[in-house]
Amino acid sequence: MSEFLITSAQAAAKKVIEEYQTMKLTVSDRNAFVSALLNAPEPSPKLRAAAKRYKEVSGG
Amino acid sequence: METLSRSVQTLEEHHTVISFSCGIDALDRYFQQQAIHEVRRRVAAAFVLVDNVSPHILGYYTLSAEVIDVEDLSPEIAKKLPRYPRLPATLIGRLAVAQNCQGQGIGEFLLIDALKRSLENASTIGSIAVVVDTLEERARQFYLYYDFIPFQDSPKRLFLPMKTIEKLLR
Repeated sequence: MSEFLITSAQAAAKKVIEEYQTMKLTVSDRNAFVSALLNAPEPSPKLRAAAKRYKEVSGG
Repeated sequence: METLSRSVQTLEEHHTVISFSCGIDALDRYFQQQAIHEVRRRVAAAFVLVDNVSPHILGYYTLSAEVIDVEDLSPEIAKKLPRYPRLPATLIGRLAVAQNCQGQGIGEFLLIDALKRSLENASTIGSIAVVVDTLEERARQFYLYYDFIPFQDSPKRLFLPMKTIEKLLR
């Protein structure tokens, strides 16, 4: 890919990101958030039960 | 919940939004007056649960893209991440159930539907979590029940990592 194309794609991606709402978190929330992403918990039993009911009523 | 005659559809002009009432003014007003405009402007996507035998809408939810600022992380966490200052996430902006249909599990159904749709889109937009902003305590309790994680400093806002959602639905 030419350098021009790469630069344009990066610029477009940056623009898209700038158009979105940005959520500001405190430093401690940010750290907790990223830690949770890195160590994503297993779905809880309640969530699993909800997903099971969803599949039953939506037919899969 | 009986859903054989029910389906989730993208909100369109022909849907009867004006009679919708969930009991919370802000959610009703948004749905009746703003939702379709936001869909047209592509600010948010809105989905409705309809009963195929009546024009009434049983519930709705909206999804939109958000970016979460993750600058200035502590060094031990930062070193595990690529150096992106901002991460894309999916926001469930609103989720409401019509007053006469509450207590039938429709909120739960819409929540899982929203998670499923967020997961399906995650591969294209790179979303790393589903985030919700709650207006009132009852809504906050609803998400806590399904083990969404609250932000300590903004307790009305909760999230679920996309990896957790993937484990749930794949």
